[in-house]
Amino acid sequence: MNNPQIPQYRLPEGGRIDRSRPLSFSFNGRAYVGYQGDTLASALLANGVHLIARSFKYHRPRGIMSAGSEEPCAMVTMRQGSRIEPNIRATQIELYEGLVANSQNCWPSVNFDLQAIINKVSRFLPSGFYYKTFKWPKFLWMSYEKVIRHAAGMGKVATLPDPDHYDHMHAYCDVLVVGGGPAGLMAAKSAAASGARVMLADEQAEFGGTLCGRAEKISNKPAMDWVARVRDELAARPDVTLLPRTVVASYYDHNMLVLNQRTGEHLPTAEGFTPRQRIWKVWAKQVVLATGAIERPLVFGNNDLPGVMLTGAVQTYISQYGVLAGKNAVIFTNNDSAYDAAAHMHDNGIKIAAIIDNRKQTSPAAQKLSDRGILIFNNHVVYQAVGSKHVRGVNISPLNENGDKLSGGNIKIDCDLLCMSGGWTPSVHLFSQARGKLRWHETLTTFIPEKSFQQERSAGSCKGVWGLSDCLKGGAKAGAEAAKAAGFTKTRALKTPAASNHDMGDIRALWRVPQPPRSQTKRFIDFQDDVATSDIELAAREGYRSVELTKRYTTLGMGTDQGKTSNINGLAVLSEELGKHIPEVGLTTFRPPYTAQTLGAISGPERGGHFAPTRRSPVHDWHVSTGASFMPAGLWMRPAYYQQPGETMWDAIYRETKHVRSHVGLVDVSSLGKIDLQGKDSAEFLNRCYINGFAKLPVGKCRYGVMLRDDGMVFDDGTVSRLAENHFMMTTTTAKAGPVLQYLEYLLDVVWPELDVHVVSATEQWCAIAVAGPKSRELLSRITDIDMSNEAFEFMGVRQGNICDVPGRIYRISFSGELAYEIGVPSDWGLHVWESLMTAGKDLKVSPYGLEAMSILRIEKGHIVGAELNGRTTADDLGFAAMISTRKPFMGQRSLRKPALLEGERKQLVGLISLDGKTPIPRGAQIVVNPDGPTPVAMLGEVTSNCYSPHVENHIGLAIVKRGRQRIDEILWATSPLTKQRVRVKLCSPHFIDPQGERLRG
Amino acid sequence: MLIKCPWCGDRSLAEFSYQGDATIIRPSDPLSLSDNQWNEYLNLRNNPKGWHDEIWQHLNGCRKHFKARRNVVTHEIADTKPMDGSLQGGRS
Amino acid sequence: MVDITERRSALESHYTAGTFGAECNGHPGVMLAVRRNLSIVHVAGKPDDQTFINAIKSACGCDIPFEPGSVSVAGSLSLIWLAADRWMAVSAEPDPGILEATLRRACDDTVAVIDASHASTVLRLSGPQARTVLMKGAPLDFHARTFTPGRVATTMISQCTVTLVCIDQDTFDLYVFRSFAQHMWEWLRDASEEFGYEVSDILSG
Ligand SMILES: [Zn+2]
Repeated sequence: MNNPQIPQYRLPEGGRIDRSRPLSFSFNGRAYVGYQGDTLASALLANGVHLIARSFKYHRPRGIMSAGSEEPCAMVTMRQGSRIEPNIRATQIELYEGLVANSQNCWPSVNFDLQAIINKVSRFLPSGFYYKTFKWPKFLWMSYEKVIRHAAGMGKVATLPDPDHYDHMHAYCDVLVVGGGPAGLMAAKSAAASGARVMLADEQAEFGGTLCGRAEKISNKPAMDWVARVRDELAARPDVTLLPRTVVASYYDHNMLVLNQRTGEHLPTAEGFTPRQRIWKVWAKQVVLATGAIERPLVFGNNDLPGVMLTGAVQTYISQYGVLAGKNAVIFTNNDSAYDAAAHMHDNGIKIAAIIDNRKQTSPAAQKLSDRGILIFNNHVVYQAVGSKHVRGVNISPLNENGDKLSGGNIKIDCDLLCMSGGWTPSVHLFSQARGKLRWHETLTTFIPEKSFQQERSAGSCKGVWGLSDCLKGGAKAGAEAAKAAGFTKTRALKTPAASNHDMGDIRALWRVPQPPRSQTKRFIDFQDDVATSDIELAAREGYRSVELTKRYTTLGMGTDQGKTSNINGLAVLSEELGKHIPEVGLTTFRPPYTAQTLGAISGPERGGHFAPTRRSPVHDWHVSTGASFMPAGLWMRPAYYQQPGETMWDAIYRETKHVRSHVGLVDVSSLGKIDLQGKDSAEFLNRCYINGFAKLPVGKCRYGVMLRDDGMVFDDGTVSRLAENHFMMTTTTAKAGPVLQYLEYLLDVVWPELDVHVVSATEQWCAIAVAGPKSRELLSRITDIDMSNEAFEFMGVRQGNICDVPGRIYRISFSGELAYEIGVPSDWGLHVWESLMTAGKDLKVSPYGLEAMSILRIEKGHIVGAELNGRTTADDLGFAAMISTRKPFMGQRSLRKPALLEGERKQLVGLISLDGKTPIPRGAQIVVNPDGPTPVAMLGEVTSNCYSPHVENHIGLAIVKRGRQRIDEILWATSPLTKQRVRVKLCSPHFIDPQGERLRG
Repeated sequence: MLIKCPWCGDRSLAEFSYQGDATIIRPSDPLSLSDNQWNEYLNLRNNPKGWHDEIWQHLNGCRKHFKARRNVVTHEIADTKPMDGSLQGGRS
Repeated sequence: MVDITERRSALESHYTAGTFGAECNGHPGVMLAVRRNLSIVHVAGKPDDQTFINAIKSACGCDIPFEPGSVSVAGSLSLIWLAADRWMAVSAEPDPGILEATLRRACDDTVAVIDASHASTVLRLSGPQARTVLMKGAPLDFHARTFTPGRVATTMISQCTVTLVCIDQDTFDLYVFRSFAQHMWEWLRDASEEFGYEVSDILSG
């Protein structure tokens, strides 16, 4: 690696990397070497690679600006193939062997990007460019959109399924500490000492926060020794959970926080059994926010050039990674924090060409550096960085008396690194998500937490506290307070070790560095979204006053970094333009998540076959083994049809349909809802629930019932069987099994608590098998001790007895219109009974049928399902008027007198038949008199069910049509303009088969 | 959110189902009501900013309905009680 | 005649005993099993009805657990709290008719007695990582001091309603609706993978 062509920027020793474990990786197809403990950013800097990406809008060259999650520039595409993932911050990628990363937003390469031409014409691409340009002509918008979509966007997503797995975890704790820097560690230590259950989360791989990247001392020893000791102490406590590599993304109501732990992102592939990421939902009694602060860029010309970096980040690269971000640095600052950094850099071999400080006086901190011979320019600014793909130097100039103009006398200073420090912004994102109220702090020139509205408190620099000793003390206090508030009342703040306590000194706010007259050089505020001062100035000139609207118009702070480095600068520039004080203009809302979350992590294990649970009947395995085709019905997987060799799907469906009408068929109806009702008021309760009466239903009989909502619309239908005086079994449709149970529970808990009724779902207890067809009685009489004769077991009867040697029930009910029974046996015996029926009925040619055939059979009979029970139909609309009792009150009864339900134009259920005998009736078609009439064509109704009927030998359907019952025999059109289908239909009775019910009673 | 079921204690929102306004009582004799009175019961609801008495069901838990006094601005829940209990606190 | 105690579990054809997931050197983090042939009967009655209280005591041999989330045990029978007016009697008796009839005989008809032996699949989860697996699924506090042996909670795991009973510090029974059993089984296996897990033979009772 001692190639003289490649400048080496790695220090021979120091840093928290393991030089004995070199790792090879590839960036833009070129091989490099870094070390265990590096990030992709530190490894690239060590190899002298600064040009990482092209910017979003102008395709300007961009490098590495920071060393953390605030990074707005160094976004790369990680991994390859099905694991490819765009827009990952190089500063957060832990290096592993074989890592592959690529630049994005550039073509053909990051070094030579054709779209960089946009930069040259950038004055034609102002704020709101799209809104202004692509407005007209309207018909071209579709074409414009394609072009814009191609040019815009960041990176490409994977098109293959994600092979990794993601996990979810739920946790409760007394105190959640967010941030493992000095304040957070001290808070966790204090809270844990009280015996509280503590969780400590930090987004870095290693605890220590800022201390990882500084040459600080605690108790006169390297600060990281203290960090290691505290971490080990905490880890040894059984009630402490340490979560490194975990970002706290969101803060929700009642102190529920969502964390994302990068469990496998630092591994070559998360294959095997380690999840790639794990989402934690944490309910914390108390929260300590120790989220630190983010350094602000300064806003001068070409401040986005690679090699222009935040000062603190340069320190981090030295201390944490042993990397020099350059050899010859200029530092540009408005506060004292840069002087500690300068000393640190100087001590590690970076030449400090000059420190440019906009403040008029030399501060004591500056004086120390000056005493070491470092050149300091007070009351000066860097007004432009110079260079094309990397900074080569800076132009500096003194400021005028007001500090708002350059006063001439430029100096050019050569450098290969420009460090900037515009002060620090506390990370108040989570505090704000928790609805905390912020206050503008004039001397710190930033917002700090003022008032909490949830059970949380801030500690350390996220609260505007800068000195290390003060941060430790604040952390100890916050941790103890949190434990106390969580009920550990004897808690006291622990003593804190000795440490330095440097602050930032006085800041001289400098929101925009003045430019020479007629300069076109861009001064960037939001680096990720390419928002420059000129965009905000333009927005203000165009009349934008609200910070929220300006944000959306200019896209300021709307990138994946959520404006971590740009919010305050952007707000300040807008305030200056509007001539207002910053707090008057206000801050935009912080919304979750703090950093972007992957869809994989959010969905966790709920994907593929587990996106939702699949419910399976007790006979499911049999259906699978006989080659049934399945279709979903709610969460259930139900057989649609059983295709035999040589059959098409429709062959199978029509065969099954005809077979039921001529022989006997079995259909698995276990998914139908079943509700068990017991208690002495059960009959009265059913009377109040259904439009028809149940008080006089004899034991051993069942009855069809219709249930209304209180607004008079039909809610569900089904049968109720009386098993004993005070014991009933209700059935519901598959879809309404849950809602009906919930509704009955509501009525009993809330409306009629005085009734003695207990309702329990019995759906899962019973395997239900419908046996339908003229041979059904003969089949059943072979397998049960129940007397199946028509005299002993009449239509709508229910009997209990042995079925295939197990205890069960038989209900004589019919959905198909044929002679039919429904068997109920306890589920564990369901398969046994099904198989026994198949064997017992072999000579009767018993055959299974699926949902498709069942649907045709019920349409032929005119039975309604969900399509007709659509929440807009009344009992009368569906032809149940005669069932409505006038002798008792029931739910929905009062609404039947509402004028809207009495008017004569209501839509009513009718049958349809295709007039030409061959054209299908389109699904969901509208019923009209003349589809070619003047628009809008009056719609009389709609098709709710449709099929080809083997029995009628024609296409038939059910429809809801205005005054339908008076239109029987009328010829109308069923038209579906969307599918360009239409057919002439004749309206008829919905009962296509056996309207007198002779078959099912026979 | 955490909701305190009067029986099961604090549980995640995911286990609960909102069941409407607890201040609305279903009339005992709906047929005696005018169209307007019935409409009022059936369709009209207040939308108060702040405290609101609600019915919730611990649907994926003990399945019981109960009353809750919730601040619809802050989501703070001042009290929960069984259906026959009376809610305390919350209103300032 | 079939032996009616030969009941087919919902997992019958999806059940393979063995060791799976991450390498665990003979120390699986999680053990999984299905408990078959249990009698489960729901009992609903008024908690202030002394006749009901006495009837249950005589039929089950233990007091009704009135404290929410608690369980009473008498020999091989457990009486598990489900709601303020509902309990679940569970015994290893393979013919569910017997437990149902015993309870039915003891109670008058203001009490609902419902056989639910076939309605639930009972999964047993145990091992040092059993609580972690539960944490993955349910939004409940599973701390060893909070969810202790003899406690029960009904909650949701992977969009399914589950009644969880803590048997001992590292052992839990999951009552899952039968039609969801396979989904829950697959979920449990996925969630246990990273710790290495063992599927033991089907437990009869
Ligand atoms: Zn509850």
